[in-house]
Amino acid sequence: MSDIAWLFVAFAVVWVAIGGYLVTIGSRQRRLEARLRDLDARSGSDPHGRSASP
Amino acid sequence: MAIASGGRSGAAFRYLAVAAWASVAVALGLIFFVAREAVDAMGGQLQRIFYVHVPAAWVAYIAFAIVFIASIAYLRTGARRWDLLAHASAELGVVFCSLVLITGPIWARPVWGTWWQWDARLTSALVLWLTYVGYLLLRALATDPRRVGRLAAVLGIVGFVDVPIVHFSVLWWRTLHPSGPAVGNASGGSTLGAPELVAFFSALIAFTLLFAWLLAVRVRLGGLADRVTELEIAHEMGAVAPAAAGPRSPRPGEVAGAATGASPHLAER
Repeated sequence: MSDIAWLFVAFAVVWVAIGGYLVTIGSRQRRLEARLRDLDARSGSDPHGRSASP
Repeated sequence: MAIASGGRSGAAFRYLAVAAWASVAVALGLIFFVAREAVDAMGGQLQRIFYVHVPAAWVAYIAFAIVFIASIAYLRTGARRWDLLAHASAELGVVFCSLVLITGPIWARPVWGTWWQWDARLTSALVLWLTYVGYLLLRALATDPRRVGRLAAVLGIVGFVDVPIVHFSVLWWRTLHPSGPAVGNASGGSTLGAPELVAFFSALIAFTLLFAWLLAVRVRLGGLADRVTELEIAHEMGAVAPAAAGPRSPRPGEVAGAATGASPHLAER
């Protein structure tokens, strides 16, 4: 492999890894936000009668 | 990609993200179009790996230093925000330390003729990476969040001992790894010219800004995870706080449970 090819691999690894980490964080965030919405919705119809709805 | 950009600090996040990515673009331009090719002994064109390898190592040092400081603060105060910060910083430290351990061998293979040498710098860097991978595994596998926070803090403090060993290993022991700038001369001085120095410091700034943004995003994510856990516990106990006083966006480093009185020691996803 030529020097340029090795250089390309090194830089590709760096930015793919950082991009992959960002995708992972984004995925975790979306999952948590969905869970939060679900919990908020459930707390809005709380079976114990403590609903926030007037 | 909309990553943790809501709330009051959303604008600050966006500015930091723009600054980070703009500086990355500038640094890449300087690395490839301004910095000159190194001598063949240092790998010629391959030496440009130095412009990401060293900044990644610098950021890993910063990340583990933050783990060290935040862990001490957590043990002293017990405040959840320090635990969140330490966890987030350890995760980023592992990411950047991984980049160091990957880009180094990619440079070494064509220049040294081998991927790896068990010399002091490489071995101590690997030990550092393993230490903080262990830190993350400890947190991921723990069942008692209160106890694991303290255990992880102790590991975060002890693990930092390896950082100066990694850094000074090239001075303390005879190693194959270049000491100082990758094109340093025999007298210990740098032979980096002005274009190379500009490229190097721009890469250093870019990686530092990128780290700062990622850390802010990751701490915020930890706060969101705490908020979810807090609500799940409240649901399980059948004691959900009224929504009027409840759901709101967590702030970075906020003590989880402050809004509802739930336990501040919550498991982070």
